[in-house]
Amino acid sequence: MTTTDPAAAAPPVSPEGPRHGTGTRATRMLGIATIIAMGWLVAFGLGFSPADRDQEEAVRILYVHVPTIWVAYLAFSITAIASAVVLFGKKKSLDWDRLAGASAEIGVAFVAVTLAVGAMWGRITWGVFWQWDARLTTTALLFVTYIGYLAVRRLGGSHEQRAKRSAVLGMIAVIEIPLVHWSVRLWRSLHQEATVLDTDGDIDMDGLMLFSLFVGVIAFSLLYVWLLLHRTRSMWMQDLLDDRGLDEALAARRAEGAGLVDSARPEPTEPVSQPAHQNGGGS
Amino acid sequence: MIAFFDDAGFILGSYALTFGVVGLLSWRYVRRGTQLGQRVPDDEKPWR
Repeated sequence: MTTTDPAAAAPPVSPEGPRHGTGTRATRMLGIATIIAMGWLVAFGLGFSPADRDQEEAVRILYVHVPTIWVAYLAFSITAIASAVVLFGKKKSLDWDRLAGASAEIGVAFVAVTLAVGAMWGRITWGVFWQWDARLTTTALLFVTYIGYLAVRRLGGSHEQRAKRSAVLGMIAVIEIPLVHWSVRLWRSLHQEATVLDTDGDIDMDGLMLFSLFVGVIAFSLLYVWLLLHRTRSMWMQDLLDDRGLDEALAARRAEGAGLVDSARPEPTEPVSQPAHQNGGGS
Repeated sequence: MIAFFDDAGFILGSYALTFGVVGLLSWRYVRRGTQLGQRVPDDEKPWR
């Protein structure tokens, strides 16, 4: 018969007690606000808002489709601004690089949602999931570009090299956002033109529809900030641990070179006549 | 209302997909933060 020791199965606990992750009181409050806003979005998007005259019930998809791409634009713009600070800022801090990377990651997830949800809207409205239409193609290009940005961040090298390399791409890639937005005017497109962010400033929408869209924008903006806080903190800890791992490896290497590793080795049975580094150790 | 039931699969599916993706991303970020947080003392974390 075997017995299980509960203490042995428990995760390791530091001497000062269990350690905390990336959450704080502020992020918990923000998380609760996000969940409430998402609840409102479901209630208004699927329930209270009326059907559209032309699109009928398919308009309900736009209450998630439009806010996700707007927040993705915001995320990529934050990436570009943080990248500019990395390249041209006087104070060289990796915090801006982490902000850029975290924001791009969230933006990519939101664009993926936009494309997938937009395909469902297209299936109802156009009868097909995908068309090589100007708006759809430029949005797919935006998605692929930022996937590339995230891939560049994962290339080897120091954190400073990562920061500079990805900052250049972060500033170039943001040029695609106006291209995506104006694609419906620059080229012949199946996709409808902007309703809210139109140049004439006149919003041709029912009040409840506009409110539902507004709730969606608020909900996804709160979610973006919440995700950004958690992700930048995770990246900060990952960088710290990477640096410590490197420092420890360098210290071990120096100690090995200086012959200090002898203390960790088994005691020799006979006195050693020469220092360890002269016997070929430490290579 | 009839149109809603015609297209309900796509409409509800789009909401389910959206909340599924953002829920998964949120869970992944919090879990990663918790895992890394165990390896870094609290007094070194600037947000604590």
